[in-house]
Amino acid sequence: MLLELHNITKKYDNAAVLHDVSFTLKPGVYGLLGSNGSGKTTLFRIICGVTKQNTGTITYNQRDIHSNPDAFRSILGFLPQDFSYYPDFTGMKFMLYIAALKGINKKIAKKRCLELLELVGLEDMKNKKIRKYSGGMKQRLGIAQAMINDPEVLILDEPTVGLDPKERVRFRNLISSFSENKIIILSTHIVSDVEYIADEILVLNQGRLENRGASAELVNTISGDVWESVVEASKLDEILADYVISNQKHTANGTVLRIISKEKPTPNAQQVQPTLEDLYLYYFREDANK
Amino acid sequence: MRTLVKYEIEKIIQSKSFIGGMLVSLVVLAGILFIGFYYSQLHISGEKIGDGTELYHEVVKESTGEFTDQKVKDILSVYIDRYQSKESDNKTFDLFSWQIGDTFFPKDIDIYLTMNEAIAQNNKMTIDEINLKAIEDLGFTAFDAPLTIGSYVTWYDLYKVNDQLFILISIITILICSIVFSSDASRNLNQLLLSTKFGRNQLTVSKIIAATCISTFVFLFIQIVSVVCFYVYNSGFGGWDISIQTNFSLKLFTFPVEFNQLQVFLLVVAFHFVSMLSIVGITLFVSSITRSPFSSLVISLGLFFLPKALTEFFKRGIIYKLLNLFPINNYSIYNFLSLLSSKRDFLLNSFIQNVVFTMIVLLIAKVVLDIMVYWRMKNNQIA
Repeated sequence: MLLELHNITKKYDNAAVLHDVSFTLKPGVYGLLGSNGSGKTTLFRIICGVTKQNTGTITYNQRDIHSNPDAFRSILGFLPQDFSYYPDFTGMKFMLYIAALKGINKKIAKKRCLELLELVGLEDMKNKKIRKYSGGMKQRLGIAQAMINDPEVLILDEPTVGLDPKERVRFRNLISSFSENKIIILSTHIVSDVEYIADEILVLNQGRLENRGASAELVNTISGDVWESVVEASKLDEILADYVISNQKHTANGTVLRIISKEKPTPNAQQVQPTLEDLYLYYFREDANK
Repeated sequence: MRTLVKYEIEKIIQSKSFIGGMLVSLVVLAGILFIGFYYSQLHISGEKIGDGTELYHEVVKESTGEFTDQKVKDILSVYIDRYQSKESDNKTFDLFSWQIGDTFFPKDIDIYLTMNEAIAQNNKMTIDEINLKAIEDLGFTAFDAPLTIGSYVTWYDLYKVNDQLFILISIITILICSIVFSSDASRNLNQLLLSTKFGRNQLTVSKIIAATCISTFVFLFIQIVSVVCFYVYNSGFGGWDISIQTNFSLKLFTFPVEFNQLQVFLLVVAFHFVSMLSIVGITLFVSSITRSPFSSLVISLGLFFLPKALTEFFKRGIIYKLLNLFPINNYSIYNFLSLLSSKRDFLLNSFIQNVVFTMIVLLIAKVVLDIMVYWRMKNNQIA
């Protein structure tokens, strides 16, 4: 089971959204980290065959996915970002509809849909119209539909949006239980979600794959670049303008800032252990400054 | 595939625009039927509503038969006798005979003024005093079998109602089909649907089948309701076998084909059905290239009415003839019979050739547009 992207480039009106992206994925959970507009959604859509790349190829088990797209779609599960459901369908009906679109036998589909709805905690809501679902429920339904065909490749674009902390924990457990012998790629802004469940993280910055590796490995690449410093109120504005700040906490002695910087930002700054959130800000500091 | 068609039908009939559109359409349908039949000129042309129809059926009963000069003379003789009769209150208008009189009375004298003067002088005008026009002089088409005359006013009312119903059916069809693809696009759902196994093939076919089935159902429902109302209004289907040339409301005396009124009605219904299929094809195509149901609806309605507006600029020539292929220019029974039987207005030489040609063109349009929709969805890319 091998998903390979070779030199994927995508342009819209001559502006490149993805630049020569290449990577190989084996079974496991991958977190795609990137700021808004970094090309995550475009990359997902290209893998799912919904958008065509300008150059490059994607192969699954050494076969170009475009040479037999139906076969690839049969083993694909996709939760896109930002879409609306059919409000007058019940959760169960929507699941069965997607099952029919995925070509799953009616009897098997019903059983599978019930199992998945139970798994995402929607069994009590299965016969209620989707218009009555909360944002979190819709997101869980989206996750369930992506898994109907027991996909070998599961792509989840911002799956934890709208989920409360309890639901996020449930989601993480669900993905972990599901991840055996599957390639799961997910993107999220909630860095901790990726940190907990991803075996490997891919950093996509302005359409380029900047780095990849296990969470700890990537975090180590910026060890020595994260500082903590207590700053007086009078100097606060100056520091905030000059550095990327990952955290700010007010104490009786002044404001404690967590600063990402190659150099020591203040005389009293102390090096601290970096986190994935710091890494995110390190890569996307320009967006953070905006 | 059947499961997908079922879901697609459900999606359409559960949509707000369909439910709202159907409710409004039912009101409009009731209005068309009420005005077209119950409130028709025939039905209200007496002191009480219904007197006119009662008189009409009496007159039709006496007048039905072979269409000859003598028959016309007999009908008009009875008509002017009744008009001048002292017993008659003259308040119930005999539309049947009036229209025949309007055709056969000479134009150089005002027969009604003359009759009124005769009544004032206690005299009575007779049919022999009127120099009626001859059937031959009016150019009625002759066939091997003689033309027949009988109930035609009610059939003309059916034709008028049918014309208005076609516009209603077309608008409902456009409303139904405009949401089929564009609503998924507006929900941003295509990215999900197109990533599934059947999202680019069976789903498109299912949507086309669902939209065509619902439009067909609406078409049949409206036609059946209309025919039932006509049956009640006309007290049956009397007059079905009367020659279309002797429909004095329609005034197509020279129509070249030997059709009775029922044959014309059935032919027009079949023609409207094929026209509706082409509207389904055009609207589904528009729906597949637009991202919102509203823009799809507006563009489709624009395309439906546009050929009518263009005939104001192109009044002859090949473009005019091509514009007459569009449903909006030939949907009315009068236009259907007159345009398609005219070499000046249509492409081929005979009515039957033109009917067959137009139906084939409309069916080809439907099939080609469906193939284009399928092809487009198969290769659809989300930007």
